[in-house]
This record gives sequence, structure tokens and C-alpha cells, in this order.
Amino acid sequence: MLRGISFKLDSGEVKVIIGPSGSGKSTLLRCINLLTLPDKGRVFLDGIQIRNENKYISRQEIGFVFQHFNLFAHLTALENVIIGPKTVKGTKASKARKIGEKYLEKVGLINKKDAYPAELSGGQQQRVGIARALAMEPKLILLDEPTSALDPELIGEVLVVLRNLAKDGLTMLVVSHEMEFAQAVAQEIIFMEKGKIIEQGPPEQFSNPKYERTKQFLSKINELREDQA
Amino acid sequence: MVYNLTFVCHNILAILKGLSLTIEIIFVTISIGLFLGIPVASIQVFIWRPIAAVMYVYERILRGVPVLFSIFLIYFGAPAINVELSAFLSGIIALGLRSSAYQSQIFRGSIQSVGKGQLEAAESVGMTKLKIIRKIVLPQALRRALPAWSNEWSTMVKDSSLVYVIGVVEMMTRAKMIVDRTGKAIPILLAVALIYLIITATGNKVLRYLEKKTSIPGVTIRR
Repeated sequence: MLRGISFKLDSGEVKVIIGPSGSGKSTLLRCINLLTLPDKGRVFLDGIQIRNENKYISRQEIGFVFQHFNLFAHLTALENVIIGPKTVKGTKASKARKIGEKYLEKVGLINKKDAYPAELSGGQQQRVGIARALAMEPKLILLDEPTSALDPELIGEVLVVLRNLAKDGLTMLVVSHEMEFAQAVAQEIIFMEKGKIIEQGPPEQFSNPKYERTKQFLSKINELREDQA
Repeated sequence: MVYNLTFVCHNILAILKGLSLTIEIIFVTISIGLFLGIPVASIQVFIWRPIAAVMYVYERILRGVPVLFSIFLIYFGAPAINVELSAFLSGIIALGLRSSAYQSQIFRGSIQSVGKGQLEAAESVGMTKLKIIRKIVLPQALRRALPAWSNEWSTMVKDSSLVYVIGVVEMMTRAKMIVDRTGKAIPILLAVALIYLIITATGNKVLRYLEKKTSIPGVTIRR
């Protein structure tokens, strides 16, 4: 599914991956923290190869935000955020609570900390999802179409959170079709199709892409945006 | 009618003498079923295939043969392999194992209903399989299993009487003894049926309460 993909993500850098559905963007993200086991190829985090044998350790350093949030339905927002530190890192309850509150504050949901996922809107659920990833204090976070499952009017609140995180210098690899967001926060944009990288470069390059295929794709998502607006 | 009532009253103590043993059988067997059923279900869903296959065979056989057969097999089979088992123990083992097979399928359904997304989310923060099962899957699966599990409660209450066939003197056996002695069946049998009905109904009431008490806000549809 993925072929000949190779890139580097520096600390503090934000990269956005775009591309049509089925192009392997999600698979690529999932191969990084081994939610999907790649047949071939290697991934390094700070010089250490991520392997099946050390995946439990590596995953603690790689946050993951899902398209469909995937919050734990039986836990409140705060419990969702702190279950990672508590059960995986063994953080004490009182300290975990503080960490949890800090990150819920960061995503603007401290007033919803006792709400259950089913009581939250999609945008709020996704912000809890982001706080859950952050609470592990990872070296980077991977975001798999974090706004694709949201109603248009809820996308903004999630993007604001992500922009602030980028400003704070968080390392992020984002699959997203929000070009405006990508242009604003990414140091580099990667365009993928059929499991390959077609074009990659700084955001400015994507205002006037080199490849015809990239142009076509960008004008298509532009049309879609205008239809929605 | 009045005669029948006084007849029942005269014998009720003798029947109730068997009640404590009946209740013991119910609680022990359903607990065996619970403590074996949950791991069997978890293994079937999550663990390495060869072990899961063994669990499927276990569950298919126990669900597929009459429980009377299992009771007889253990009771008469144990001495054949030089194991001494009382009738009580034989009955409890047979009923407990059967219950574990049924309960495993109740839990398998509810475990699978938790959904892949949450499992992946738990994996993504670095939880091991065992932790995911304990912290994410079972807390939800057990809640969702409650309505189906109340069926199992009713079944076990009633099936506890089957140990009658190997001479365990629980409530049904005592009732039958009174019937044999007095020749009057209907009043005694009705009285016993009423007691079983009270036990199943009370249990179901408690389970219903537990279901409400543990329901997750925003998730459960209820009046």
C-alpha cells in the first residue's frame, strides 16, 4: 500500500499530509506507532527504531488523535485524559489529575471535565481526544484527519487548539484537508497519492504546485469548500 | 383449598430446609460460570488463535450437550478415574461449567460490541492487551452484559434443581420426598414453584437496579 516513502520530522516541526482517500495517509500514520504493522521499512524516533518489541514504550512518546475521536465511553473527559498517565506511566492519582486538568484547560474544556463523551459535541470530543494524547507528554503527536468527522461549524474550535499547539512548538504530523490550516501552521506539506509521495515542500510551494496532479487535487478540495460555504 | 393451604403450611419448613442448599448451589454455580466465562470470552476475542480454538471447543461441547448428561458424566465418571466426588460437588461442577459456557457467549457479545476504535485509542497511549481488557473493555462489556446475564440468573436458579437426579437433597428433592410420602403433589409443587419464582424475580430486580446504577450518562436509552 505504501511505496518508497521516506521523510524526516524535526523536533518542533509541523508537517501536514494531504491526498485523496485511499492514498495511504492514514496507513502511514498508523505505521509510525504500529497500529498497523508495516511489511517492510523502518521508523526511528530519536535514533531508536520503533519495533514490535518496544512498541509499548514508543507509543508512550507518540500521541495519536483519531478521526472518530475514539474516546473511552465509560470514562469522563478528565478520566479519559488521565487514564494513560495513570495506567501506563504509573503516575499517582493526584498528580495525574493535575496533568489532566492542565491539558483540559489547554483545549478549553476544563468546565466539561466531568462530562461523559456521549454528552459532548463532536468538536468537544475531539478536543478531549487531543488532551488525552497530550497528557502522555509525548515527543510528537500524529493526527489522523482530526476534523473530518466534524460538522463545519465545529471544525474551527479544533483548529484553534491545533494552531496554539503548533505555536507552543509541539511536533505534529497531521493528515488534513484543511488547506488554510496547513498553509498557516505547517513547515512542510506532503501530497500523497496511491501510496507514494507526489510532491512535498514548504506551504508557499502549494500555492502554485509543481505537479499537475497536485493542482487538480487542490482545486477539487477548494471546490468542495466553496460548496460548503 | 383451605385444606391444601394448611397442608402446605405443615410441610413448608421441610421444604425450606432445602432452600439454603438450593441458594448455595445457585450462587456457587453462577460464580464458577462468571469467573470462567469472562476469561473464556476474553481469550476467544483477544488471544492467540490456538488457545482461542481450544476455548471454542470447550464452549461448543458444554453448550451442546444436555446438562443432565454432564451431571451424570461427572458423577459416574469421577470414580472411574479414581476421583472421589460427592453428589453435591459433581452437580456443582457440571452446572458451573455449563454456565461458564453460556456466560462466555454473553460476554463475548458484549466485549465485541465495545468496538475497535477504543481498543486502538488504548493501544495508542501504550496500554498492553491485559490492561486494555481490564480498564477499557470489561468495564463497558460487563455493563452491556447485564440484561442478557439476567437470563443466565433465571436459568441457573431453575437448573439448580437438576441435581435432584443424583440425590442432592436440595429444595426440589425435599419437595419430591414429601410428595412421595403424602401422595399429594400439586400443592407442594406449586409452593416450590412460587419459591423459585420469588428467587428469580428478586435477582432480576437487583440486576435491573445494578443496570440503572451503572448506566453511562448519555449512552443508555431508558425511560
